[in-house]
Amino acid sequence: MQQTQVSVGKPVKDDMMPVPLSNGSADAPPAMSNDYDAYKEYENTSFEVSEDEVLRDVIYALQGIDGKHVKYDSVEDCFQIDPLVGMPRSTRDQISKLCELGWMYMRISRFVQEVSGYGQGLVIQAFASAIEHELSHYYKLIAVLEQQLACNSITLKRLTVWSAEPTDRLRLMLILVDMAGNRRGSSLTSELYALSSHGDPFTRNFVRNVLSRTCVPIFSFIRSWVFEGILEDPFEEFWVASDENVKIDELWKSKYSLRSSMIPSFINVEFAEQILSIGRTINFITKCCEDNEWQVDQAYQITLTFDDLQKLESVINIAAKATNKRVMDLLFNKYKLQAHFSALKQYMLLGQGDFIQHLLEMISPDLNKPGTSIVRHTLLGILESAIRSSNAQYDDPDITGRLDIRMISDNQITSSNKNISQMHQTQDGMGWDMFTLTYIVNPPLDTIFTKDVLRVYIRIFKHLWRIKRVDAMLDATWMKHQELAKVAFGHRKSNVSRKFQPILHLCNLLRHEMVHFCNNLQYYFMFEVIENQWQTLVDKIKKIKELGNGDLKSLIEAHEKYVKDIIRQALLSRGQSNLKSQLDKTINIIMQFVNMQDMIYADAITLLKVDRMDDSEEDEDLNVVNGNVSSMLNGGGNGMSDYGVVDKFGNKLLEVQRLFRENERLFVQMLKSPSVQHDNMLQYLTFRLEFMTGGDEQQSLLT
Amino acid sequence: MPREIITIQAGQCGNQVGQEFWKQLTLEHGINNEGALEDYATQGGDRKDVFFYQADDEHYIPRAVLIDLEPRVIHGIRNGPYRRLYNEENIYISKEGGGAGNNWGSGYTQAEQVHEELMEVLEREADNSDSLEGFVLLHSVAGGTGSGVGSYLLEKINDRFPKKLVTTYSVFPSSSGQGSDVTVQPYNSMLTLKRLTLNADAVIVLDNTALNQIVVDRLHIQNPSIEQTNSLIAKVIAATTTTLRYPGYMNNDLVGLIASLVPTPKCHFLMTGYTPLTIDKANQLNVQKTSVLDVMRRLLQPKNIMVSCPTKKGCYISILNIIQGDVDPTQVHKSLHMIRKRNLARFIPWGPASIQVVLAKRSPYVQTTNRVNGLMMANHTSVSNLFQQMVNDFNTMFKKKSFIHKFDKAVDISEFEDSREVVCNLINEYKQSEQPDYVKFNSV
Repeated sequence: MQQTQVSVGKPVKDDMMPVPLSNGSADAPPAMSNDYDAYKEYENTSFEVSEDEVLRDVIYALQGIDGKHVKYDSVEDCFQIDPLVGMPRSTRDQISKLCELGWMYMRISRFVQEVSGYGQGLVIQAFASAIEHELSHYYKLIAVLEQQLACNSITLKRLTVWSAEPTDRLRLMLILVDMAGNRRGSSLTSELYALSSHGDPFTRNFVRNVLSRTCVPIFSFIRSWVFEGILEDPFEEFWVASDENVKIDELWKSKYSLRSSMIPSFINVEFAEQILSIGRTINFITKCCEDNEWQVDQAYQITLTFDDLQKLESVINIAAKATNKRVMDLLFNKYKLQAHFSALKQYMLLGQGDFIQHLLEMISPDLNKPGTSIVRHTLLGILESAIRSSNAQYDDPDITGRLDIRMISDNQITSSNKNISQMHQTQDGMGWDMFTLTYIVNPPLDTIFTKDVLRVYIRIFKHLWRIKRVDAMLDATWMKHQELAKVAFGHRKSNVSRKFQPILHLCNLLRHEMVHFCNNLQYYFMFEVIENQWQTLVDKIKKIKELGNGDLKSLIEAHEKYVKDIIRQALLSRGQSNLKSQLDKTINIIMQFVNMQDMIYADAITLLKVDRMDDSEEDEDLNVVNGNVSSMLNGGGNGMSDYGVVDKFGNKLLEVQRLFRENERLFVQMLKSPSVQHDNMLQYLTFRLEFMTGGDEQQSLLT
Repeated sequence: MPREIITIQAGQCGNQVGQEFWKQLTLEHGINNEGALEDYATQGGDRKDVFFYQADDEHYIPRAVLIDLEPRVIHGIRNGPYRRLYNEENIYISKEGGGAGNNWGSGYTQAEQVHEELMEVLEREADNSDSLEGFVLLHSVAGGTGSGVGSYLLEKINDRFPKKLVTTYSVFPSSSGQGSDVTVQPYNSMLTLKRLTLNADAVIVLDNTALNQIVVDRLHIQNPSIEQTNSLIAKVIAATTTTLRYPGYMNNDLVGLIASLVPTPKCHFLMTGYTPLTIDKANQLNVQKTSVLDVMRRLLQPKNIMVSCPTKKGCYISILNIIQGDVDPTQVHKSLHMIRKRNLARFIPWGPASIQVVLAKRSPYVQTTNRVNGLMMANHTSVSNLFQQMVNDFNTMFKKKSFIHKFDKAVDISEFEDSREVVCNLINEYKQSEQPDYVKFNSV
């Protein structure tokens, strides 16, 4: 606690000496030979003036005005009585003391004048006006004194008595004014607040009154901020800062911030943040959600003052609740946020399986081309037809209309400074590597689904899409193997079937291993990761909506946590790049395998034709074809007897088998490494992949 | 572009089962017995176009082809409450109307004689689809029409639609011909089993012995009617197609579903299990507690499996569980953990295997008392026991050439031998697949 009874800046000297007549020290009576002369000079009784005259001068001085005999001495910075005026020393002292009041008044009113001009800040102006308000008592006193002087009913003695109380007041004011000095905004209010718990009741009340008036602008900031979202703070004295350069899509995230230096000491940071958040929400409602009609209930829009901080708190709580409720209503009802969360799961996270399946199937031929030669228009057509032909057609057109296609490489997603909205890329790469689905959002949804968040969705999409693709390839391979088994070879023990059977058996078993791997990856991603995280998100959203005090911030945080957790558990976080690349490697080998199967299938079908033609020898035309096909396969050799499928594919197949098993094993090993295993969820994946491993007994055919 | 599936129901059993199947399917999709969508059925999130198409007036018509050589069952359908559901053009009844006399040979030859007519219906239905995935055949193995006509169609479909998936739901006769009035049942079965082995991609084996057992023991119905047994079958068939009809992340087509279950082309005979079992309201007195673990554990119990095979012996090649209902996804992991810990399922020693669990939606239009229900589709080597029994029955008769004259003209002796060889190879392959060195197996 600061000491109040500090001496005023420039105390008036009790033993004021008339300067012009004295050469020596003013402190001690001069040692003169003629005592009387010395006395006369010291007491300065050269000529006397009437008390009335002096009183008039004193009352002038009290108003900071020079009188006839009492004048302000700017060098000494005090009021001086003309030394020539004959007056006893005690009277002189008395007058000097009285004039101190005038000196204080001068200082105070000078300060008030200085800061009252525009450009100094609203808080300091409010402070000045508070001080001015306090001065009004003083003006009254002067007026009374002047009146009494006119009636000759005042004496110096009486004046001295009357001046005691105003002196205390002015002294306190001067202390405050000196303290204010260059302080502005919260620094000033905080200082005042510190003084407001002073032990002396007079001081305490006085300071409180001043503080209350000084805080008026701050409370008006709060009021217009929490009720209208308006910042009227030309001197940056409020703790809410606004960055005018921020565009609307980032309004929520970065337009408004806390100016901590401007939080007065009687407001704690959490409360300041709550207030910030209310206005931010209102701005979000009016600017992003374009809802200008809405207002906090008028009944609560009361004038806020420092005198009732408790009421402030309750009003803020009411405003917070009302704005949060409104923003939730808008987002979930008008802007169908829940539907967008679902849509992102259904489309970007591949939940709408039939849609994804059609898309994958129809878009494959195009994505086999280099990324640069793909026509966006064609892809959009395919997207459209995938929507139409799947259950996506029953989705809200506003949702499916937001689906879009981008061509973007993996590097571009991770480097966040690039603009993902660019369609045309210069980079090479097959369509597969670049294709992604994306979801278009506009305000206010882009506040929740920010560019960064959508980028994360794209990463997950590309990841799942790749596995989906290889899964579809394996299914297609299965169909080819089935076709060869049931249609082509049938029961007939033909040469072709005899040749192909052993290698196809190996292919079947290897394919099954791969199917198992892919399926379990997908089960893990979908049911263990996404489904679980989704459940968590849904529960959180429900709570946020139910509680009523859940705000947009917690909603955004819940959603960001959701995508982040998926990223981590889906092996896509930055620290997991080695796992991800091992997985990609394994998947590449599956693709190699599939390509090889296509070749085997093609050979088998060709040879079967030959075989069948051998059976029907009489047809010459067929024999010609037969010869052509045979020579094509065997370089003009005799029929298909030379063709050795084992020779052609056996070693390659064993190599693929070896690579697949080795890479899968490495992948599982990496999953099990302690640095990775700290995430429990990943154990679920190893558990699945190794559910009943027959790994040890795995043997090679063709030995 | 749905992955359409055309259902062919052949013979008495096929059509009876089919009738129950469509009853179940229309119920699940909120379609009334005339094909019109019920007013409440607006937001099911279901795909009706896999099994139905819409007529000009938007009412739903099953992609079903009804074939029989005698008119009784189909007449029943035509006069029953669902008479307006089917496309009349897709119903084929032999003009003679004499049936196949429980003789595979008769069924097969009759089908051959009218194959143009039959194939025309199939072609038309196929053309009616944007992206036909395949055919489903509902039939029985033992009789004459389902087995004979079914066998013929399987061969024909292979020729005509080599790239389409062929799945059958085949009702196998009660073992040792108990209560069967079909004397040549072992012959019929063997000849059909050859086609099921060679010409189908997957066969869902429904064994009458097990079905009766389940209805009697589990549902406490002493003398089950054919409708009751069939409605059980229909429920299982409908459940196996859940993921196709309620699209989710995975298994939105039959290929994806079956590819993971069938590693090698011939070993494609799948068992099913279903729990909890209920067929009508009256039977829901003893409502069981159903959690994911309960359901998954019960699905592995032989008494819930619709094939009477010793699943405690042999091993699982693959298992797929479709769990429907109010499921917490975390329970799946716990259940799998428990099953592994207790060693409740034995798997093949030559490759990776695990229980795949799909969480699927449930029709919002069908009220059930159970929180969770589950279907298992499994490829288990012990299914070969069923085939072995059939070979034994066949041999007993074939040794003496009993009743072989009934097949005169229609079936050569060599065809019988050939069929037996195919089935014996199949049994052998199943036996081999229990061994670690299955990779070395050579079927040729």
